[in-house]
Order: sequence, then structure tokens, then C-alpha cells
Amino acid sequence: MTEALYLERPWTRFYPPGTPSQVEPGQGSVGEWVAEAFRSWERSVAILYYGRAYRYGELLEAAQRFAGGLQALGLRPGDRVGLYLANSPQFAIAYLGILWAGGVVVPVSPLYTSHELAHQLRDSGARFLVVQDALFETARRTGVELEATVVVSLKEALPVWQQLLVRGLPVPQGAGTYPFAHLLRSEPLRAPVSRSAEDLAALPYTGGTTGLPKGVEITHGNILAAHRMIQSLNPFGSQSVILAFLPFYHIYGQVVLLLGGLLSGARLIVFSTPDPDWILEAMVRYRATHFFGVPSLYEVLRDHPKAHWVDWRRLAVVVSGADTLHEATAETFARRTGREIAEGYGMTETTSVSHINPRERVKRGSFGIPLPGIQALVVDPDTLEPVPVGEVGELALFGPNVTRGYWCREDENARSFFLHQGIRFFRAGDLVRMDEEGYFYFYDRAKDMIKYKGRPVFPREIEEALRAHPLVKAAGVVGVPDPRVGAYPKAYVVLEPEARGKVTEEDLLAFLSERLAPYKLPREIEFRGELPKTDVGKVSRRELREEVQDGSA
Amino acid sequence: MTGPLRVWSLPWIFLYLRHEVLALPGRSVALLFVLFLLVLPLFTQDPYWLRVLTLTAIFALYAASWDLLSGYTGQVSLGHAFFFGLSGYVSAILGRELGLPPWLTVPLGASLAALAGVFVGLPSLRVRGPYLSLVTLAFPIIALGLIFVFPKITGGELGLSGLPRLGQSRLQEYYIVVFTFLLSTLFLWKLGGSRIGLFLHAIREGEVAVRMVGVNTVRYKLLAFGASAFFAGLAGGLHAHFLRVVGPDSLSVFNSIQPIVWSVFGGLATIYGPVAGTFLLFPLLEFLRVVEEVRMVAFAFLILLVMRFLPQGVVRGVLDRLEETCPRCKVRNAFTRRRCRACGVELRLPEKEVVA
Repeated sequence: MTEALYLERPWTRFYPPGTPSQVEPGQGSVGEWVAEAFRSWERSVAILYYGRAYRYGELLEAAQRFAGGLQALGLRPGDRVGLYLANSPQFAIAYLGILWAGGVVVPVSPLYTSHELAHQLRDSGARFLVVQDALFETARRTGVELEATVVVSLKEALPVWQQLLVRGLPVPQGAGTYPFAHLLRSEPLRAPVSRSAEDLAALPYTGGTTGLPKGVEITHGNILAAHRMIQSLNPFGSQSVILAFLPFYHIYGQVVLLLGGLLSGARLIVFSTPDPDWILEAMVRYRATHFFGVPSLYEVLRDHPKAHWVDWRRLAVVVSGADTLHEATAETFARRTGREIAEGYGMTETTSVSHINPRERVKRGSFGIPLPGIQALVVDPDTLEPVPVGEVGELALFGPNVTRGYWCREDENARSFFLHQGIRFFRAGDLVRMDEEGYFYFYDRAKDMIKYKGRPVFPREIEEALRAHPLVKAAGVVGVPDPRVGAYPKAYVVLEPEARGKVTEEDLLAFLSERLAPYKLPREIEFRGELPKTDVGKVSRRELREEVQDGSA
Repeated sequence: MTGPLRVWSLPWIFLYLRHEVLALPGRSVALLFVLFLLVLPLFTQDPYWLRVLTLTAIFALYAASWDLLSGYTGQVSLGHAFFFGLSGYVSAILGRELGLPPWLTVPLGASLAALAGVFVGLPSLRVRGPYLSLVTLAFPIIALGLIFVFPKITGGELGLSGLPRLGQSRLQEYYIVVFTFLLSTLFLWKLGGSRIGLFLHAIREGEVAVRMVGVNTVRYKLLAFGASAFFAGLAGGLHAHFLRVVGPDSLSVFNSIQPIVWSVFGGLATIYGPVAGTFLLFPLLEFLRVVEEVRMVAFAFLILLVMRFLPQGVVRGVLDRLEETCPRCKVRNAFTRRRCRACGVELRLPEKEVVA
């Protein structure tokens, strides 16, 4: 009976009026949509890069030439092309150009080292690479054989007067190495190479937490469906001004900002580096209407001395995604700026977004309701049967934006998908709870959960309680395996500098015992000078867990 | 430059004014002061007032230059008039002998003063504290001696008069001096707040400690001497050409002591302190002419009173009553605020919690 409630989709009544409750899988290819959209907006500004404007017509022409250049270099439809580049107009041109020529985009984080890049290039079998000049050496050191490497100089995209003042990098020479500008002089490819909705469009990599990252198969249909689903709740128009500082290599920036903005005729303010001062200034200068951030940025803005200069209430959308937003952050931010942050949820496997808080009805602490077209289920991680509404279980998703599987990982695919009532659900790997209204709440990653004497203990809950202590700067909690109890929680705590040596384990336990049930109290608390962080700035529980396992072995 | 350049847009400048300047009493007063200097001639062109303000601006720059050397770096100079007078004489002689215009001779004189500053600074590498002050005291006396030895070039006791004017009219002279003063003090203030300024502060507080962490203190002390002497020289050159006369008075001990009085009155090691001190004391001394007999006594008495009740100087003393620093984010706030303007934290605890 309770599982019926999931399938009834109680959240649909919170959609803004006029929102469809279903979204058809996308038809056609991204290239066709781009051709249509860009032609109708030809004269308007698509991208502003540090003061230089790029019109839709210009971008389309450049993408067509880039596609022509790639074809001349030997790109065939379905070939993978690595994109190892910071946010820039060239990223947009290369991304659209690759899809136009029928290729598959393999975005790589510009922060990655040559070792990580090598894995992605080898695993995806990419034969082409578009690389930023500053990253060329890193790419060369991978030793991966490539047919062609296209080198991008970000300096070329700046306004002319800035190019005179900014120092450039030497253009690398060599066989198989081509400057980006060289490709832009090729014969343009006027019509996009025909691709169907089932053909691959992008192959982003995800999940470095267990072993090596896996490629996620994102089809043209996935992208177009995701675009339509996002637009149905938070539509962009030709008047929208979107701040695009989130990395385009990440699915969030790629689908929501880059494609979402350009397919709607909006204006993107592109930043290569996310400097909060510049972002705030640009918000005022260009009268931004949409602000897409991540929790760590809101954490910075919360304390930023200029954050309240901007009128946040004027913005149409203030969204946080990609990580859980701490309630304390959302609260302080709302108090200082008068604006509630709408939290969303999504992952690479769902082509960016699957849940979002509707604008008019934000619930703090919840990551929102599923987008139109999504069927969400909360299941028991062991039996894969739905749990009663209000109980914690693993999130399972089905929808036109959900990937069909991982690239060449049959074992992972078998683990990550299951059939329920004839529908193929994807296991998100996150423990969540749904309330009666259909709002979802995040608890923890499924593999981080600690089973203490058979009871579930969520490290995040303990971490939040610890962080509420005024003298705790950061905290990480992991489970320590123990044959008698299963596993018990152990906390690693970083204190504020002035509290070091003064706050003791007993103080913190006394503080926690007022907030947590006795079985959730950490058995051990270890004080540290700092904690290992992931490359996005979260406390890395994986590394803490490895320490624990090495210690006990 | 490897990254894109940042240029502030106009709306952002307005926001800056609203949130960072007008939000603080000290900065609002500074803004009003600058505006006052710039627009005053629109309302009155009374020659007496323009003359007083021009001289005040010149002396304020002179006091600020002393502050950089003695307030920041702690190398107390009792012979600052040496740079002031030297530059004035050099500028006058160059103008007379070679027929060069003031806009060329004043910077030349100031540059020579900067060289002289580095030269005077050399003993500071070995002598410290009061001994250094005595060394600096000797230089203007030597210079005075030389002036009387070569009366043909220097004019001897009477000095040199009839120097070329700074500008065509009083108003032009006023604006030349005010702009030079504003730009120079802005530079000195920025220098004081920069990394170099930090080293200068550190040298004053403990030179041995600074050397121990690997800072080349010789370089920074000589830099302070040179920069300070340059701006003192700039003031000296402007002074000579504004009054159209340069005499032995400009090298007198009294002229060395004046900037010290203004700086200590306004507040040491702030740059804006000496400027405020000069702009309060110098016109005040003019006002007191109405009670000519007790003028100097009243003046001295006032300074004593202020020093008794505002020992850090007028500016710091008043600002610390009008503004306070947020304990959490260290941003300054007007005393009227209950919450920090930047981080929103409560600035004052409720009364009852203080009792508990």
C-alpha cells in the first residue's frame, strides 16, 4: 500500500501551474536542436567572457567550422573526443562542434593530473583531445597515443584590450598538434551529422570513491529530455542572464548552464575561475537573473563581506546542487541576504538534475521533489523492495534522463539497475527519506552508513551535530568494524585554533549526548590538525576509512 | 598578468561607496574632506582662505612624509627640515640658474632630497634610537652652515626671492597643490597598508626579530628614508614656489619640530593622522591670531589637553569611539550598529549575560 504512494507521485501537485507531469523522451539530436535554436537567436548575445560578447550567430559559425576541422582531422561519427579545458567560450564552441560532427564528448576536470586523465582517455578510447594551453604538458605526460591534439589559448577569447595586457603561453608545436584558431579557419560543416536519440552524446566520468572512475553513457535523448525537464520547472527565456562559473566539465554546469542556457536564447556570463568577488560584481553589472551554486560556494558567500551588496531577492532562481547544503549555511545565508536557497539533487547518471525544490515552496533541509517525468522510489538496500513512506532507504530512479548504463562495465550495470514492476530502476546509492508530500531528504551515501548492533547510524547526522558546536571547525565520521557490534562510529574533529588543547573528548560527548540518541554517540573522538578533503572540498570519508582499515589490519 | 583583468563597473562603485565608505563615520569624514578641498573654490575664492588651505595641504604632506619614516619605521628624524629645505633651495637655484619651470624643478629637487634621504639613512644601519635622531639633527645645521658659506648661490641670510610661481592664478596654484597633496598622501597611505608597510611596522616593533625571519631590513629602512625624503622634498619645493621665497628658515629646528607636533597630535603610523593633525592645528594657529597675546600659550595648552585625554592622537581616539571592530570577522562597524554589517554577528551581548 505504501509503495503505491511512490508510484502515485504525490509531489506532482507542487509543480507550478502549467507544468506537464510527464516528459516524453527527447527526439532528434542535440545538433538539430542547436541549429534551430541558434538560428532564431542569431543576433542576440550568447556568451559574455570578461567583457567580450559572443553572439549566437558567431558561436554557431565557429562550432560549424570546428566540426569541419575535426572531420578534416579524421573524426568519424561516434568517435570520442576528450575535452580538458576550463570554462571559456572555446569550451562551448568545442562542445557544440564535437556534437555537430557526430562525436562523443569526454569531459575531463581541468584539475585532474595526467594519471587521472590517462585513465579517462584509455578507458573511453578517445583518439582526439581538446586541451587548454596551460594543461598541454600534463596531457603530453599521459603518454596516450592520440590522432590529434587541439590546443586552446584562453587569452584569445578575451577582449582585445585585455589581450595586450595579459601574458600568453607559448603555442606548443609538433606532429598532431593543432592550435584551436587553426581549426576555426576550416571549411564549415553546414548541417549537423545525423544522430539518433539513442546515440551517445557524452561520456562523463564519475565515482572515484570506489576504485577508478566509470564512464556514464549519456545519449542525445538523455540530454534533450533532461533539458526539457529542467526547463519545465525553472524556465530560462531570452531575457535570462545566467552566471556560468560552475565547471562545464561537470554534468551540472554542462546540461543546466551551458546547454540549458544556449538552447533557450539566454545570456551566459562565463568565468574561467570562480572568484566570489568577480561573481558578485558581475551579478550587479549584468543584472543576473539565475544563480546556480554549490554548497561550498554558499558557505563562502555566507561570510563574504560583499555578499549583502547584491539584491538577492531580485533573482528568479537561486539553486544549490552537487552536494548537500548544510542547514546552518542555508539559514545564515537567508538571514543575511533575505533569500532562500532552493536545493536540488542530481547526479551524472541522471544527466544532472532529478530533484529540485519548487521556487514557491522551498523546504529547508530537503532536496526537493522529483522533476516531471521522473519516477522515484525508496527501497531497502538489501531486498530492493520499497520501504514505507517516511522511512530511510536507498533512492531508486527511472526517467527519460537516466543513463542506460556505464561504459564497458557489465558488472557495475548488473549491480546498479534492478527491475520493479517491469520498470528498470537505477540505484542512486544514496540513503534518503520521502515525506507524505513527496519531498525527499538526504541522509548519507549508502556505503557510508554504519550498522551499529543492527541499527543504522548516519555519519552525516553526527557530523552535523558536531559542527553545531561553536569551536568545531570540521568533522568527519566513519565506521570502525568491530565483530561484537558490527561497526561503531569514530569521529575525527578539527577544532578552531583558539580551542586546541582546551576542548576535550568529554566536552564534545557531553555536547553530543544532548542532541543524539545514545547508540549514535561516537565511541572514539580523535583530534586532528586537518582532515583529508576530496577535490571538491568535502571531507573525504573514504580516506578516513582507509586509515581506519590500515590501522586495524 | 596571466589572468583577465578586473575593472569595476559604475554600479559596483556606487555599491562600494554605500557599503564601505558611507557605512563608517571615519571614511565618510575622509570623503567629505576630499570633496570639501575639491569644491571649496566654487563657493569662496577669498585669497586669505585659499592661502591658508594651500599652505596647510603642503604641510600636511610634509607631516605625512615624516610619519612614514618615524611613525611607521620608527627611525625618529629630528632633522626632517633638511629634506624640505634642500629641495626648496635646489628647485630655486635650478630655476634661477638654468631657467627651468617649477613643474620640472620641484620633482628634480624632490628626487635629490630622496638621494639625500638614502645618504642620511646610511648611519641608521649602525646607529639606533636617540643616537640616530641626533645624527639626523646634524644635517640641517650643516646645510645652514653651507648656505652662509656660499651666499652668492644661496642668497645667504636673506635667501632667494622672486621664484617663479606655481601657476598663473591663485586658484590654479591651489588646485596644483591640492592634487599633489591628495595623490601623494594616497600613495603613502597605500604604501603603509601594503606588504612593504607591514615590514616597516615590523622594523619599528623589533628589528632583530624581522631580520631573523629573513627580511632584508637594510633595504626597507633605506627605502623608508628615500620615500619619506622624496615627499618631504616635494612639500618643500611647493612651499618655496608658492611663497616665491626660500630662506634659511626652511632649514630651522622649528621647521623640523613642526611635523612631529602635527603627527603626534593626529596619531602616529596612520598617514591620515598627521594629515588630520595638520588640518586641525595649522588653521587653528591662524584663528588664534585674534587673541595675538595668548596665541602660543593657548595653542600649547590645547595640545597638552588633547595628549592627556587622547594619547593615541586625535584621529584614533575619536575613531575608536565612533567605530568598533567585529570580534568575528574583524570588519569595522559604526558604533550605532547592533549587528556586524558584514557577517551579521551581534556586536554587543545583552546586559544580563554580561552580569552572569
